[in-house]
Amino acid sequence: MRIPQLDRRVLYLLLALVVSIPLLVNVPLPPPAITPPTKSFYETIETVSTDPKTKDKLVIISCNFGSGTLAENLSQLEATLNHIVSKRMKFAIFAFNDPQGRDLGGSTAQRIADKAGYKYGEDWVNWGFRPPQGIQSLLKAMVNDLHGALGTDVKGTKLSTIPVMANYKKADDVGLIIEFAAADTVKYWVQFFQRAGTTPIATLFCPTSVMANEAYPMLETGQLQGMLVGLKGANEFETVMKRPGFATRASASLSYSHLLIILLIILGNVGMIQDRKRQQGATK
Amino acid sequence: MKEETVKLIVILLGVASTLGIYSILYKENKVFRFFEHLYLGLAAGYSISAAWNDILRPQWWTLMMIEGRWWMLFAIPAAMMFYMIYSKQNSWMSRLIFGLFLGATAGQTFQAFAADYFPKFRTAASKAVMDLPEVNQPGAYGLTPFSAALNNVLFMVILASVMTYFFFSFEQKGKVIPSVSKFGRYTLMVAFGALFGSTIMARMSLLIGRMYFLIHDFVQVQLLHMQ
Amino acid sequence: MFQVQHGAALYTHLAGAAVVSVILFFALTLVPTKLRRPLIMAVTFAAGLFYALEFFWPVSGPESDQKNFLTSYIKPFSDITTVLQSFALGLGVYSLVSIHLRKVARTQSGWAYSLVLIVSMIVMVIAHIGKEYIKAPWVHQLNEFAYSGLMKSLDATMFSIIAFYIVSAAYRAFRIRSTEATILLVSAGIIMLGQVAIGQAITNAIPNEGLTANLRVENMANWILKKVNSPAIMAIDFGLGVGGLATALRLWLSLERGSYFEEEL
Repeated sequence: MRIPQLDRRVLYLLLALVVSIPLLVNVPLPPPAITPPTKSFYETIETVSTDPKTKDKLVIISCNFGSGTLAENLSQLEATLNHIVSKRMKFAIFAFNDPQGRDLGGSTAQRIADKAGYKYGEDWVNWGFRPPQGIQSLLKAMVNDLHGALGTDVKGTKLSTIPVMANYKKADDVGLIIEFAAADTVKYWVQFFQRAGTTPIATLFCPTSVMANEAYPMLETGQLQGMLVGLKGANEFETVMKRPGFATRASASLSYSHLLIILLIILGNVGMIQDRKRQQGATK
Repeated sequence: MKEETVKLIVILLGVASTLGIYSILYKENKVFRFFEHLYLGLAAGYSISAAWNDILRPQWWTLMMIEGRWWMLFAIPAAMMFYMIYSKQNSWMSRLIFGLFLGATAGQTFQAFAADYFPKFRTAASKAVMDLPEVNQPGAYGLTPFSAALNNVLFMVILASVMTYFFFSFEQKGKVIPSVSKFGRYTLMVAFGALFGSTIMARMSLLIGRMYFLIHDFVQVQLLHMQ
Repeated sequence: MFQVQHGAALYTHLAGAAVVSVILFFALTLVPTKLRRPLIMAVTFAAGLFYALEFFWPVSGPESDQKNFLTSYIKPFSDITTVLQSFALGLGVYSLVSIHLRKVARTQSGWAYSLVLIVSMIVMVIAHIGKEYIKAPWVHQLNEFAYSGLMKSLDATMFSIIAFYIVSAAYRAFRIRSTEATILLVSAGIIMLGQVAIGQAITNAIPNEGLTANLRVENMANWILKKVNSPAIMAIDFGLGVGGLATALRLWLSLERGSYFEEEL
């Protein structure tokens, strides 16, 4: 049977259908395997939230993404924040790569915090956005003086007057850094903040899938303690937490779209082999 | 305007722009061109407003006019030097300010290199010797100390061969370097394959996000009032 | 001299600073041609030297707060360069607006789209900056429409459209023509199957314990990512780092050559 030359629009339509149908009807799917980066991500939060040395320390939620990668980063953020508030840990939202991160992270945190009974200023705070150009020096200054280096929160209130910040003054008061990003911005935390205090701070990374490959070496070298890889990482985390969200709903679409790609690659190559054989036959 | 109406308009605008951009998939058309230019304009406007709201206002205007640091005014002639690029006689002044940034960026690169690469070199170089008991870590299925050590040696071999592939990019003589370099090229292909797989997942995730918006947020919630 | 001022004194100082700025700016235009290049080189070198010295100069103080005489100037210097960079944004805006305004003024082909671009840019600026100053609901609604309604969706859709092109490329361009392409394809296949639930289901029957666990597709994918992808990416990263360092040195010492660096001043 000869493999047909499909019009690109047919291929586009196929993809749209493969992605949409599982969103409309329930397609049975086995639960995802929980991969090691997700396992260690979960275990790190568990350890930090129960260890007497770290459980009362601040969690920095660094939101360095924009609306372009919402589907991946927002689902990771929602799943993680739900876990953080369930552990009653205090957290600070921060952004330094895209001002959208401050707003997207802030509004998500507000929604989840309200549900969990967290109060702004007492249980969590939004440090706001700081420009990327000066992030190296800002992080260095934050190591010994969070209040002085950051100045004010997103509403313009001095950090030194916000109750939740009263006990958090320097890097040693931070127990966990979680970076949600569409780029390799976690390197700034690793380079200038993570090991600048008296003890290294556990650092977790939630990149888009395409950025994750670059971050694996940091998992290998111990600079990162865990990672949620894109939407599938969020899906695994939701499965571990037994709290299905957008990532779980999207899992079937993600699976079938991958199958479609593999199928098309195979078909394309079978077509190429057929053409080659036909050409060889014609020349003989 | 009621809050619900605003929400509805926001969703409708989202639907129109999503479908408008996707219309290019059928063929080049005016609707796509309209939304494309709308996007460029909005993105440029957002950059300008973010530069004012998030940088110039808090770090320059407020410091100068509210806190009274009058010397911040000197930022204006310094910034004006950028714009001398449009002057034929004095365009060199723009290079003076660009020079400042080139020098500062170079200086920051030294610091970043020392902070990032030195620890990485150290960890990678000591890995094969120091990091044997990986056996108990999550995901170390069936790893014995022997296979863990083998994995670490493989890690170092791949690192060395890919670096050989890059650093010996000129004509290679003898037998060892070309073979090592070839192995490096093959392992690079494995890495690129992995990157390709991850790229597919990233793009599919974003497409699923848009489809979810159309199907769930618009059709199911707004039109059919389902939750 | 550099003391904070308020009220009338602030305005007097600002006026003084403005006069000094004009004089300095004018003085710079009088710099003779042969001195221009050395001046640029000196400024470039000094800016880089600041960071280099701050890094290499011995530090003192308590263990958690070690610094040298330059450390406390790093943040103010970085803040002011950030401000200057933001002013430079105008260069891009000027270029964009002038091209599109010219198109509109001359009613060239596609002028209406250029008009859309300019109008939408102005609307976004009014809405996004306006919401910080004006409390009237219409400004916030305008911001909602421009940002949440349009920009957020357009941004996400633009990023997602590549998924369609990948599908087309997978069918038309991803061909096994060489050993390298075959290795790439096999690796990509394992990663794709190992990352999604339906792919993982293929090897679900294999127990996830003992040596046989290595035959499960998600473990194979994880092994590739950790043990083959990681060192390869690390090697690329080292190469980039060394290259970046060399380029930084060339720029710092004004050794870089090329059209921009060799033009007549």
